[in-house]
Amino acid sequence: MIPIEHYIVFSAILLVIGLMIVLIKRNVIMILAGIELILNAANINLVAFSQHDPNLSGQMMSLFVIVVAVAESAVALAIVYQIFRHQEVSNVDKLNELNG
Amino acid sequence: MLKYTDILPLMILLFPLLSAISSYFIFKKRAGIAAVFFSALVLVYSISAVFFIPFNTGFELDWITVGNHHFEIGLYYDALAGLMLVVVSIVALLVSIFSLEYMKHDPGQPRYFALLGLFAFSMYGIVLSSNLLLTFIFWELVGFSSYLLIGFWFEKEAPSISSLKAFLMNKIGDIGFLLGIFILFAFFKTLNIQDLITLDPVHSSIPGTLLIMMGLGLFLAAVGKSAQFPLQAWLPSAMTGPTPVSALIHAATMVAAGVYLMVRVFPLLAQEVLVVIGIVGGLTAFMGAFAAFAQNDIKKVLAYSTVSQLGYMIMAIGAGLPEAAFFHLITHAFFKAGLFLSAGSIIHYYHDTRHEADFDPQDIRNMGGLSRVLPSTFIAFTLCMLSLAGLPLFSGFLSKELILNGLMSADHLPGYVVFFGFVSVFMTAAYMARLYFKVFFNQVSAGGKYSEASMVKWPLFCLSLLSIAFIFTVNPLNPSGTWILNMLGAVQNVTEAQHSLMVPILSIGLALSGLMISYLYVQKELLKGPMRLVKSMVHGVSNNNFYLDQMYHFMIVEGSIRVARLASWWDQKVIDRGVNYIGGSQVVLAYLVSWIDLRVVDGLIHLMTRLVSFMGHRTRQVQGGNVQAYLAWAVAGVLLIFYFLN
Amino acid sequence: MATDHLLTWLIFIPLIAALVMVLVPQNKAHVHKWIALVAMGLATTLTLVLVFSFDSGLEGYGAGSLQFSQQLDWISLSVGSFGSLSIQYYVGVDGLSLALVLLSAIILLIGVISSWNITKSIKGYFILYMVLSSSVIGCFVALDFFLFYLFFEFMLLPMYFLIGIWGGKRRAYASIKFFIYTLVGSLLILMVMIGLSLSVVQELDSSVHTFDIMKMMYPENFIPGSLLSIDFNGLFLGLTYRGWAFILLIAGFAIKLPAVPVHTWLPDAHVEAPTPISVVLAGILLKIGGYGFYRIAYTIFPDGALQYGWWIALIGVVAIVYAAFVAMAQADLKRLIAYSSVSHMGFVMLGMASLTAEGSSGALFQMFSHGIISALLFLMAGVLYDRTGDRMIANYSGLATKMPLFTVAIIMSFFAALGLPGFSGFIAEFLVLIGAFDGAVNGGIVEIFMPILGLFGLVLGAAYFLWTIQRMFFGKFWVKEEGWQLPDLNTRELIMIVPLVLLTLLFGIFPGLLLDLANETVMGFVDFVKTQGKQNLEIINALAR
Repeated sequence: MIPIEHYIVFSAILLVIGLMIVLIKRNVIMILAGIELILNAANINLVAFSQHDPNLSGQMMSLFVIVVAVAESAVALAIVYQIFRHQEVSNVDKLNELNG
Repeated sequence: MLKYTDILPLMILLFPLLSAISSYFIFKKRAGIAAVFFSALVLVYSISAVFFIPFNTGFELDWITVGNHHFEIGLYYDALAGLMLVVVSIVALLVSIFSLEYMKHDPGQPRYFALLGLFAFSMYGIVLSSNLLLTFIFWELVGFSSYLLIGFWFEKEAPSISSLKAFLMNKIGDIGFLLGIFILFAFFKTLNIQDLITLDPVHSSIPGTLLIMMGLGLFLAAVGKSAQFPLQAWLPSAMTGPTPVSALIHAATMVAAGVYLMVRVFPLLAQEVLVVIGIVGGLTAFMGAFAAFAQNDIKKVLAYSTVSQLGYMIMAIGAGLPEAAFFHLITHAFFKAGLFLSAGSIIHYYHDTRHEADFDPQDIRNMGGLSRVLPSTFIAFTLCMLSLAGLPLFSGFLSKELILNGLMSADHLPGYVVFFGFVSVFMTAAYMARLYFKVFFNQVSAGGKYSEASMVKWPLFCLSLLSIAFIFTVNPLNPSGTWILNMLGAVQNVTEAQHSLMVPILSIGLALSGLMISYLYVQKELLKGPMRLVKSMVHGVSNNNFYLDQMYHFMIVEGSIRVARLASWWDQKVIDRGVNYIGGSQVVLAYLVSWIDLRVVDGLIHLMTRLVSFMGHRTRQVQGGNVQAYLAWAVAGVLLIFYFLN
Repeated sequence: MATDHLLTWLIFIPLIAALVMVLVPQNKAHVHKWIALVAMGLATTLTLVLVFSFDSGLEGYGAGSLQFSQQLDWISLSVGSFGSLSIQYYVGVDGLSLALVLLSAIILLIGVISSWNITKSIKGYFILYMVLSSSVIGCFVALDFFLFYLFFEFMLLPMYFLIGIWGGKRRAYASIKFFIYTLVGSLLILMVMIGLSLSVVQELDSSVHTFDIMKMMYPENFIPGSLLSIDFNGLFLGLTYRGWAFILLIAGFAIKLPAVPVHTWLPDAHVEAPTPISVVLAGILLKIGGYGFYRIAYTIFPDGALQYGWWIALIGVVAIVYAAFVAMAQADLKRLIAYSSVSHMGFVMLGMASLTAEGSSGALFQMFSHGIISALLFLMAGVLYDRTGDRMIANYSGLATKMPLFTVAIIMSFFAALGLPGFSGFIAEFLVLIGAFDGAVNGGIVEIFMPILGLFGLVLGAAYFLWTIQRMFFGKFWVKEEGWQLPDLNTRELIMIVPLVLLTLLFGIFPGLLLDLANETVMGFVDFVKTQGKQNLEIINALAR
């Protein structure tokens, strides 16, 4: 059986990669992708820890997360599309309309 | 209250004032007539005063009361005042009559006669005053009227300057007068002359220096008024006034007021002061006679002669013989007034006959041969001149003899004063003869037929008559026998002076030789050689009166103007500028404070706000709407939480 | 008595006139003029009533010798543990102040006549003039220090505007200089006034602090050991606090007088001020300085008068000689007259300092006579300035031929100013100098050299006045600009000049008219200062040892 540490390390790497993408990348689409990575890192953790859970509620939760992630990315993509249509940018730094 | 005997002197005092007012305001066209009328009235009054008013009477009124002290004014009538009144009023009357002719074309007649009246008023005031304060008041007033009369033709440059000079030099003398008054008042609390004489300051407890200062102060007053060394320079320049004025004021009366004052206060003078008086008088007599030699203006010659004769009078005071001085004052008043009026007649003649613009009617180089043109003037001038020269049978001889005798017997005076006295006799005769021969003989002047007006002739006649010795004594060779000394009660005093036959012989000899030398030189044109030598040596000194004018101009006039400029410079550039700097420094200080306020106090506030806004600028990035940054911070926060949770 | 409120009327008549003027519209110029004339005429009449009903035989000095006095409580402030301050409306006159009230009334009346040809904003001018008149008179009759100070300060403001608005070319400079100078002077006085109010109480053991000058005269009314009491044991820079207070007062009033070396505001103020204001300034305002010496400094600090009298006399003598020299070098007629004022005011200091009856009477007489004569002199300068707008001496010559009446007038006023007997100036200078000399010889405060230097000042005075006459009036007629019209004096000018000339002659020939009025007061004053000063000094010196 694969020890739990491997999952954790893997999910941590995935989290950091996702986080880095979110923090560094300017492109909105890429940021959404980064968010997906973070969510998936969480999912991996949920799944991995649910091995020791007879109720498998962790796996249930991961499924829930996936559903939410799909919905979220659909909404987010719609917003991004709308922003792109209005502002013709996809770069988050240029989106400073709310900046005083 | 006033007694009837006080009314007469009061009238004598007030008539001239009335005359002044009426001739200026009422009788404008007939000003001269009014003046003559009042002068005649005064003469009548003063002669009758001699007979009807007992001597040594007078009255005093409180004038100023300050604290517990009273300053009084009053009149005092004694033989001295009585004689002086008669002399002044005779000369004043004759001069007024002469002026009728002399000033007949002048538009300023009312002013002229009014000023004569004002002068006479102040002069009688000096004569009658019982009190040094009142004397001083009139003393200043004669100076004032003299100032206005010297500057009578004010539109010309010279009179305006010489009037200024005369007043200022007199003012210097007046300071001395005031000083004397102050010292007397400080010690005796009275200024009444008779009271002071009774109190006898010389033998009282006054400190010696103050006593001498007092005497010298009073003498300084006489120095100013009687044109003694070193203040004699004003008198020759005062000749810019009308000639009758010169006769009245600057020869016969006002300049003699100094002598009169000295005679009045003689008992108050200490021995040391008398020595100074004698020396100054001698010096003045000599200097005046010396300066008279090289003058070419007929009035200037006479003016210097006046200075010299006043020196004689002052010398007599110094010798301790005030009565002799007073006697000389009287004789001098008549013969010198006669000489001046003769000069006036000559000038008047040239005025009437010569109309060239550049012709100077006073220059003796333009004159000559007048003995035939102006016979009355010639006779009057001759008589008066002989009297001035001090020849026997004339009044001048009598008074001069007394003075010379007094000088011989005055042991306290240094010997050179006596020498001055004698040598001036010679010089007086010589310069008068020079003038006489130049004016009346030699070439005949170009003027046509001319007859002297009777208003010129009569005054001249009277004055020359009064220069004859027989008016004053029955024995013209014995000066101590005159009735004037008798009236003054001074015969005793005068005859006590050592009487030697040498004095008259010497003085007559000197006078005659003086006349002779001038006669030979001017008339016969002999002695050219030695004279040229003398002339080359002393002409400049004599002509310029020992360069006194130049010296005063340089030292005192220029000096005080320089001091004035310096003071003014100091006032403006130092004091005022200092004030401005103090004021300015306030402004600088204000700027400094406002700078501090702006930069330091206000600056601190600015610093705070800047700091805050700087911080804001720095920190606003956090809230910059940059989602990624938010996230980064959030992550950092989470990491921190984790870190601290461990 | 009917005369009880006379002084109050005298103060308030001009103020009422000013109020009436406020109501009269601007464009009725002659109405303002006539109101001013009537008001000052009334004030002069009242003053004459005062003079004639004044009892000049009343002896002594201090509260008992005051006449027509009126004393009312005005402000009463209680200040915590300090006690309470009582400020009174206290007015009254003695012989000396009455003489100065008379002078003020005369000069202010002449000033109104002289203001007739003012053209710029007449309403404002006359309102200010009336306010000035009221405060001037108030100053001379106030007997409460606070009231005095109030009037003293109140004078500044109208004067500032009168010079600053109606003045000549450099009026802004002159008026601000005048204002600052006088303000500094009054600050010095204020310091002393505050110190006095701390020390003086109405009655011993009460805590009612008073400004009453008649109380301040006597050391008994000082709280023992308080700052300015004679037994206060403490020195500041080597002098007692009383000494300092005296010096500050003298300095404050010396600025007003003015004395050398704080005189330089005077020439500027005079040159720039319009003629009537010069007249009032020289005629009255300077006298307030001398009056302050008498009423405030000498009365409250007689010990200081004895201690520092020598210096006051010295400053006076220096002023006489120095200002005479400076006057000689002036090219501007008005400046010359201004400096002659400084010189003449030196006599006031010398006479006051000598502490003899003659000297003090002389000082009073000099104030009075100089008031009239300087008014006359400034009117003369004004006559010329009105015609040509030029005051330079060098620009005129031989005016006597064109303006004979004016020449007579100027000769009379110049000779009056240089002290010719017959004019009032002579009496003043004579009394001051004889008093100073008497004091010097008989062991007084001054020394012999001072009156002698003063005599020297007389010659200088004659020199610069006569030189001016000679340069401007004698000689050939010549003026700088050919177009200048030089008509002789007109009627209005004669109305101003003739009475003044007659007054100086009147007081010159009958000085008793004035001196008898003030003689008892002056004697009482001299006596008071000498005895009280000696007593005070003994205590002070005993303490110092």
